[in-house]
Amino acid sequence: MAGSTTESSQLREFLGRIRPHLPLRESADILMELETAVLDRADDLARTAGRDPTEEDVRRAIEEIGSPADVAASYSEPRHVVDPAAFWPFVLRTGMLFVVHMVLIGIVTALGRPFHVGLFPIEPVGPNGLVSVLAAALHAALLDIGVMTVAFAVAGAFRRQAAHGPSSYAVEAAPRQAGGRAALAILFAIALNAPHGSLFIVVHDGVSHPLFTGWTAEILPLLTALLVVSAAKDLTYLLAGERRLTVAFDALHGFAGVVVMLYLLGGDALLEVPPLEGLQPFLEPLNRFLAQLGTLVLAVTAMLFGAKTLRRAVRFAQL
Amino acid sequence: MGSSFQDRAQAELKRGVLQLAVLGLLRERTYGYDLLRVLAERGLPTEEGTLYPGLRRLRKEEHLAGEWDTSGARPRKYYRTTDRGRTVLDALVDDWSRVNEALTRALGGDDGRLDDGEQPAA
Repeated sequence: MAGSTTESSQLREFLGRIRPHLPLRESADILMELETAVLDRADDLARTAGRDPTEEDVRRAIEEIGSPADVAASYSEPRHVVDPAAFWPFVLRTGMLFVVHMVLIGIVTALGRPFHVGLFPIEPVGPNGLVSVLAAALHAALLDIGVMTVAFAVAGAFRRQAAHGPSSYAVEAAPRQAGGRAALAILFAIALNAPHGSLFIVVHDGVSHPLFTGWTAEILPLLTALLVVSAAKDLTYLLAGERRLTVAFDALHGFAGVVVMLYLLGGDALLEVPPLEGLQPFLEPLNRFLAQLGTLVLAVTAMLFGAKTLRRAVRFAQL
Repeated sequence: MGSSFQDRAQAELKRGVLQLAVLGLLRERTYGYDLLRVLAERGLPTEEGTLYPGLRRLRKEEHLAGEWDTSGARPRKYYRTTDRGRTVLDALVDDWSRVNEALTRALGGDDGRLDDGEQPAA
């Protein structure tokens, strides 16, 4: 009786009430394990009573495991960008940044000209009195909250990583994933080297215009080389199964990634909207946005490559 | 207040001990329900709602490996401690021994009770 879930409507209902609260990717796995646990427990209860399992045993097993809400809650993981323990330091530092930001706005307003702090422009307050001051304060507050959120999120991720130690190199445990990654890198390398008209394009009046700049075309071989090294590293493990060599290869890939990203950061913008008719009024802000976005992406990628290099180096020492 | 502190401290202690016991017991491959039985037999009765999510977390942190075995009458997920888990287990067992010795000394006797006959405050 209890050996089959299809015969136990109360078990189906119990699992059905848990399902919506579980992480989507893991729900099938969790539910199957819970189902087996309930049925094993029902079998045990029946065995103790010296009879075959019944729906009553399933009911008792479900009761012992807890309410669907409690069971689902026990699988939930904290989802936060800023660690709750770091909330007040976050508020304090954001407040301090906001004060500094407002002082800088006051200075540039007094001087009557804007200046830049890295990517971020500090603009003078507009001419509309209190409304302009409020708008500037709101803009500054939102920007500061965003910057500090990113800073705390990254710091929290590094802290968690340090607390748990470097995770083992995924390729070692999942050769199939290594094959998938290698295939993806090769496909991406091919797509990147496709004729410019087929990738990163703006279509205007039925004509395709590439977003690539001359600088992008120049550095394409570098990006392709990075992808080829990545694919070669995964294939090395897939074909040879040699851990130390693979991890060393990946550390080298990470280091090469840092060098390439820093090189790209020193160059021109990678993408640029072509000077099409009708787009003229938006060209300058659009291209500035693309350039800033490009810089941000390259900087983050450089940091990720750097973190990867460190992790692989630690892993190499562990092997 | 005292009772709340005691509950919290006991829960934290039990959670830590359970992880240690799980890593130790899973040096031999087994599935969740069987592990529950073994834990209860060895004096560490644990609720399903604590064990299964705990197994999942340890697996995510790569201290355990898990795989489904569908060859029996009922599909079962078997777990075993990974090399990484064993390294952590060894380190934690060492820590446990040190803390146990230190605590015994701090409480003033081999039996973990105060010398003057007083019970440690709860």
